[in-house]
Amino acid sequence: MSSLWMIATNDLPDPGAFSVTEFAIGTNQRLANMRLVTDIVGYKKRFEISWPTITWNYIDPIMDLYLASSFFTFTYQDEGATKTATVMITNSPEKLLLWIEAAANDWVYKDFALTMEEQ
Amino acid sequence: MIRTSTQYQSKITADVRQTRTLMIAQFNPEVYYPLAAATATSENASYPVEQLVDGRFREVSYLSYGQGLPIQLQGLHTGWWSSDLSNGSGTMTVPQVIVIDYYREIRSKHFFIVSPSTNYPVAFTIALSTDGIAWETLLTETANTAHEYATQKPSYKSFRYLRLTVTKISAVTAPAKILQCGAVTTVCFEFYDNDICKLVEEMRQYNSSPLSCVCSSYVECALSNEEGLTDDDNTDSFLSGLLGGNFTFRPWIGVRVTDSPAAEGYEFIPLGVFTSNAAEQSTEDITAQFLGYDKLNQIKDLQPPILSVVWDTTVYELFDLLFQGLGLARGTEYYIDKSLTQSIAAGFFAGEVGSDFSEETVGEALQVLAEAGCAYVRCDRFGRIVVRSNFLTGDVDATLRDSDFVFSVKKEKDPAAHYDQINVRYRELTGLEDEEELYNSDIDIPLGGGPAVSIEFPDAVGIITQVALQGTTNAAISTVTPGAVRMEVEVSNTGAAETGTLVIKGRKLKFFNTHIEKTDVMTSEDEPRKILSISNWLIQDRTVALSFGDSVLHYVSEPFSTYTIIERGDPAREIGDYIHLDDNTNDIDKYLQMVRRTLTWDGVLAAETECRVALADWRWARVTPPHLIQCTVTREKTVQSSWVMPGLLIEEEV
Repeated sequence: MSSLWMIATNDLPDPGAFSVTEFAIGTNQRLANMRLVTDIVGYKKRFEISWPTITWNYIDPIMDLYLASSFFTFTYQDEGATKTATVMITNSPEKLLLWIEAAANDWVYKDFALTMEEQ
Repeated sequence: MIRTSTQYQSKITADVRQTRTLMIAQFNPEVYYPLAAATATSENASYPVEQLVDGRFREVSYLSYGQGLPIQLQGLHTGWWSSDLSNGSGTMTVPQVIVIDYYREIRSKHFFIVSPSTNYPVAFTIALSTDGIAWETLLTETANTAHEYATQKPSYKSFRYLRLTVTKISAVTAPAKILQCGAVTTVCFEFYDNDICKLVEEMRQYNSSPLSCVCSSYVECALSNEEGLTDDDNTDSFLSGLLGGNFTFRPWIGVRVTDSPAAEGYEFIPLGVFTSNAAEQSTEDITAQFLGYDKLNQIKDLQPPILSVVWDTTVYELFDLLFQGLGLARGTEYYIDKSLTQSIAAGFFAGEVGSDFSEETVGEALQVLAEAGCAYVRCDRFGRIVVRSNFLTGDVDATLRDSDFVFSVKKEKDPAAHYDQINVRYRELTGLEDEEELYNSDIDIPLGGGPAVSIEFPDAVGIITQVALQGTTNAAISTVTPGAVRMEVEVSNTGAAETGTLVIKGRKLKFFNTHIEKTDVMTSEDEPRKILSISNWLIQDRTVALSFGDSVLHYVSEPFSTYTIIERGDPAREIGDYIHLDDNTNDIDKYLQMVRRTLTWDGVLAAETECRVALADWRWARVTPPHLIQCTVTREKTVQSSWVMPGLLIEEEV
């Protein structure tokens, strides 16, 4: 059975919060009579996912992808279905160490959040 | 203005519009749509084999429309799938043989197979044939690992048929799948590959006349260089060595006209036909940039063809002769507005009065001829040279309002380009001079005859009466190409090298030099007048001189004669089009002609359009409000013309 949440080939725990928003790519400009007009290139998805607590073994491959600035496949749940998207991490993930060791050398971090945008 | 559908019009003026580009790059000048015919051992009906030879190497999930868009590019592109499957090790149960017929013998050294990354040929053979019977194996691969396979042979191969035999693929128990294959001839880059497209169309000046009449266009394109596909020195790419050479390309901009996701459709507008300049190609990490110029740019620096005087001709006929002399075909390669009936008593190609004919170029000849016809010359979006009248007649091509298109308008006042009076120097033909010796010079004639002797006359010659080669034993004149200002003589010699004297006699054209003056009616007689003098060899009629003079005066006497408009951009508008600028916010209501335009697409459209005030024929130019026009003809009489009211002209001899 495939995992419900994955970044590239790495499993993720169920998130505390997750949202998918579509945003437009294009320009907004005002005409001579001050009316606002928009020209759209297309729409892309933005994924925001966060965990109240997460261990280092999950964070480590995420940080590798972040530092490589590369696109990867993100597997997520949307309206009861498993979906995938090619994404890139666009925020700077902050890690707050809780000084709790979940297992040997696997420390627990608090409030870890990622923002990803579709390619 | 390119004709478009009503759906397109409603979308282009809508507040939200989606655009994308495509570009057809023609690397083999002999091959354009339809590129080729193809057959295959088997095919899935939804993935037919003709998709292999439509130039598209990406999957395309939307419909495309547009004037001049090849029909092969109008549907979806899914690639070809075999109906036969591979076995558990990827070997095809039946080898798939694809035969491509290019309709004619072509030359190529670039060959490619583009497939989906999950299903591509592993073992295959490519063979070539000129007759479809005898085949020569070009290459055999047994362990290919590239889904975009490319090979470049050291020398060109001549062939008409190409045969691809696929025996093993990378996917098991699956059909063979190929998006595009064969020789790299014409390639279509979809929006996925196009980063930036910037079209610049402009009317350029070739002489001192402020009314530039000859247009030229160029386009700057940037292709995405993801995975090094468009990196010219990437030998793994099927485009290797092609983008760095000279090739023809046709960019298009499409506007989404159907909203249904199931039938997404774009109407594409052509931007022109351009030839890339290899020297201006460059590749950065993420883009490959190149520049292309239209056909007028290619011919403008050529020397005009040698042409004898054409008596009692018109501007239309002289344009026709010039284009035919350049080897262009009427209708398909050029079009001339039939209203250009201005008469020319003795027509020939020459620059301004007193110009050095040997320095004259086609660009200058076009400018002089266009002035004489109050016309402009441009290359249209389909690659055809078009000559149209500069006069605004009928409806304008488009209306730009502050509520739909205009972001800002700049009215420009240039005192240096402002004049109160125009003097147009022209010539009226009065006959021919007496016969005289036009050329007398010794020429060395080697065995065989040597190259043609080129002769230039200081004045235009109406009739050549004698061409003689004197003092030779074996040499004789073989061919004479007479022209009004240039001439070529070819001499044959069956014996030893010798020297002869070439004598040419003829009768020069006899002109009466005259001029007309047109003065801005708003200028008081007491004020000093700033005068612009213009001469044109091909204006040989007073009516034409008056028409041209008034057009120029109309333009240079306006306080604000040029307008720069920053607008949303509509790719269907072309240079030379007339627009109505209706900007209530800035209180501008003007009829204008587009003289320069920059249209930029980088995901969204943007345009900067420079316009000049629209020109009206002199008979109608000053109707409202009633103005007085004075014109003086310095020959036998002085004529004063007055506009009293629309349609009523009083002309009296003073």
